[in-house]
Amino acid sequence: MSQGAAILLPKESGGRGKGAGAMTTPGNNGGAGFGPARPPVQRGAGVLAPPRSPAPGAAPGRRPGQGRAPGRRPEHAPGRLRARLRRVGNAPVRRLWSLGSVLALTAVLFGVLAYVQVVQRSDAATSVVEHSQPLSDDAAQIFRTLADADTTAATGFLQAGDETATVRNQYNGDIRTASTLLAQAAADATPADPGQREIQQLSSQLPTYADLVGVAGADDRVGYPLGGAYLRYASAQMQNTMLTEAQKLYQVETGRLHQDYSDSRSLPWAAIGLGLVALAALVRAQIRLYRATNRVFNIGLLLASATVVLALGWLTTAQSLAASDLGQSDARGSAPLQVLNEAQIKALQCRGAENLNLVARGSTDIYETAWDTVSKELAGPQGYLPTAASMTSADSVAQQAVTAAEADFTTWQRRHDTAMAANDTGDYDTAVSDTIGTPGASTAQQTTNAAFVQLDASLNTAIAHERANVDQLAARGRGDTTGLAAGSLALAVLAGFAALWGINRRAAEYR
Amino acid sequence: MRIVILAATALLLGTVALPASSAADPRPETLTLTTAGTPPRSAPAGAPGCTPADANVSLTPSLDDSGKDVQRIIKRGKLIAGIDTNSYLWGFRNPATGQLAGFDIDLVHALAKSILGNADDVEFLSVPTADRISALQSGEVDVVVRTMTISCDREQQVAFSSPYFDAGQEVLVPDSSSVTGYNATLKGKRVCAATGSTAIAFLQQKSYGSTIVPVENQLDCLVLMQLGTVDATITDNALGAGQVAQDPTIHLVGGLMDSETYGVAMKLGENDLVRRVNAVLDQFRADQWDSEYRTWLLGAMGASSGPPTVTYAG
Repeated sequence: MSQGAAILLPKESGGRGKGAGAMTTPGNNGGAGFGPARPPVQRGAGVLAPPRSPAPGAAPGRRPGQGRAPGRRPEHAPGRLRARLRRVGNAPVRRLWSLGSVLALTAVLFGVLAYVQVVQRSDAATSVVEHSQPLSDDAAQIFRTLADADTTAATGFLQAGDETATVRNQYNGDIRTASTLLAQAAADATPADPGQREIQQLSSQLPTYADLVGVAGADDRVGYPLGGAYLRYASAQMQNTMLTEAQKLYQVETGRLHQDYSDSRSLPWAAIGLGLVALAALVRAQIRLYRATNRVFNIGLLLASATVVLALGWLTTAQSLAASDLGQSDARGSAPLQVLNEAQIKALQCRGAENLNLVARGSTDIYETAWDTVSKELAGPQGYLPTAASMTSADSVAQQAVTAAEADFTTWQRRHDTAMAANDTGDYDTAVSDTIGTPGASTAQQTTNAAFVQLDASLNTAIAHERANVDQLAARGRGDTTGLAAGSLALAVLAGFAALWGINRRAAEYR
Repeated sequence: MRIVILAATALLLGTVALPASSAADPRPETLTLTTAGTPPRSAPAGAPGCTPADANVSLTPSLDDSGKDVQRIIKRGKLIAGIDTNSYLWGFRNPATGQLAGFDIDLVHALAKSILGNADDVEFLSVPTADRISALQSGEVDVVVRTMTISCDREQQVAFSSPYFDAGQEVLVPDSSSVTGYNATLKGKRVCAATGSTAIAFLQQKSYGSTIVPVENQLDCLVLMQLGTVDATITDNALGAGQVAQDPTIHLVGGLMDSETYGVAMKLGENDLVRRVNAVLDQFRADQWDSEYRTWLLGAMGASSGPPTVTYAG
């Protein structure tokens, strides 16, 4: 910087006083530069003064030769002076041009950096909307369909010979959806994707699971308890292996979503920093020029500064706005969405445990224990439903749906307790009909399944709402930076040209 | 939690029942019965000097209904029976009818008919293997009829009726298997057995170079055997017969590894009920046993030498 500034000062300025020379004596700035050791401003002011506008602040009464560099003898002969000027006179111009280049380069670098950083952020924001949020949703959906398949398989099993078409279709639909989603996820994922392993494993385990459920049903239909053992085995594969992998896939995808959110929300500090440096350089150059020429304005440099200020202002404001909108999208949409997804998953696990408890026919109490554990995770004091309720407190639509879901769970818990009480007193048939209903009976039965379906629907309403929130706010966040990348680059390039132009005008005064 | 309570109860009972041995061995062996993964010792350490033959001795039968425990059942009007619903041929739910069926179920109906006058005055409660003893101790059920083996060990915790079936551990393999029994042919094989069962105790004492695969329920072994995850199963022959009945491509090999008897279990000290049940069993063995065997077990187990012989004392 100080080097760049130093070149402003011609080492030899004797011949410059074409018109105003009468007033001021060619002084010597001695190439002292703008360093701290530099003599007072007034000393060289006259020297640099352009012919048409004598520096008003030129120190009066200064004697010729004063301040000249040591060892330099005064030149008085005009011819020699001119010759000498021609010889060395390029040096100040070169220095000016060097300064101009540095200013222009800094400005352009600022523009390029701003461009790159803005594009990175808007890519991350685009990724949130078009890539990581949908992938996270898909992973949640994979988990949901798998868990639902398991629950539905148990329902079909409990209906045994009376398995309804609805239940069979739902199970088949779940298996189909899960394999479609897995195929899609496999196609979307690059080999380096962290979720790749889970996707492959799930894809290979799903047909095996479906086979086991098929065997369970076949054994059950001929009256073998082995069918129940198969279903419990299939379900254990699902719960302990496949759902664990699906959960991991969901976590991986959600982790990426969080990464994208934080990438898109971070301010482009490097670009802002470089912009400030460019601005400081421009300001400093103008101060030096002012000190050298006593002219307040260099139009080019002023324009350059204004342009950089504009670009910086736009960059900072737009990115801050985008960060705020994306933050809102994360906090008001994505975060509740994840809690609601988890709630839906827990509800499915509860429902599965309830069914399997009946399938197990009292041979184990692990499913009743699972119900107790998972239902606490769902609706206990720190559970997903109360968390979702507090997260959506500012959003009446979501709040309403979550409150409905909480009420649905209360109903479900009550019916569950009734069904379990029946089971505990040996009334297995009542427990089964309290849970999955009686085939052929009206659909409005007060079963635990009906309560679950209601809860699921309430959660779906809340999820759809939050999903829309995510999209809307993320879209707004992306909209905040529309044109910013190209715009800030263009402004910075303009600033570069303006700086060069300003310096050029200054340099032209040497000719 | 359940195990802790059970263990505490077992400890208490053991100490009360065995004042003489408690000083020498304050930790009764009965603990291991309910602790998952720790099988009972194959040599039961029940009352000092108790032999399997001693364990089979039950209280003299009586048709007297005036005892407080029989009266409790009569007043309730229902017999609460702890059963298994996953043991094919013994206690299972027929998916077609939704009805419970099997040898043990019929025995429960016989008890209800004799005590209450109606074979259907029964509340069936499905009890997991590990909870059989605690369900009796807590009074949740009056009787446990669930292929439960009489042992000196268990007699410290519950009261047994006279035996109603002779059984024993046996090896179960697919037809194509090279395993010929509980012997050196098990080397390198994966052998399935239910956690906490006598079979596991056998394997832990001598595995013949096999790998033990423990599962929660003996029926889970059949799933694993069909899926090729295990090569053989050890369970008692009566339950093994239930497995064979569900999969004709497997069979029992090598003969019985030991001699066991099944009995009806009741709460320790409910002696009037034990006598009353023994009276029903006497009748059951004499009049009903053969036809029950033919209905449920003949196909899977072959001809029988008849019901066990019984000895009464006290």
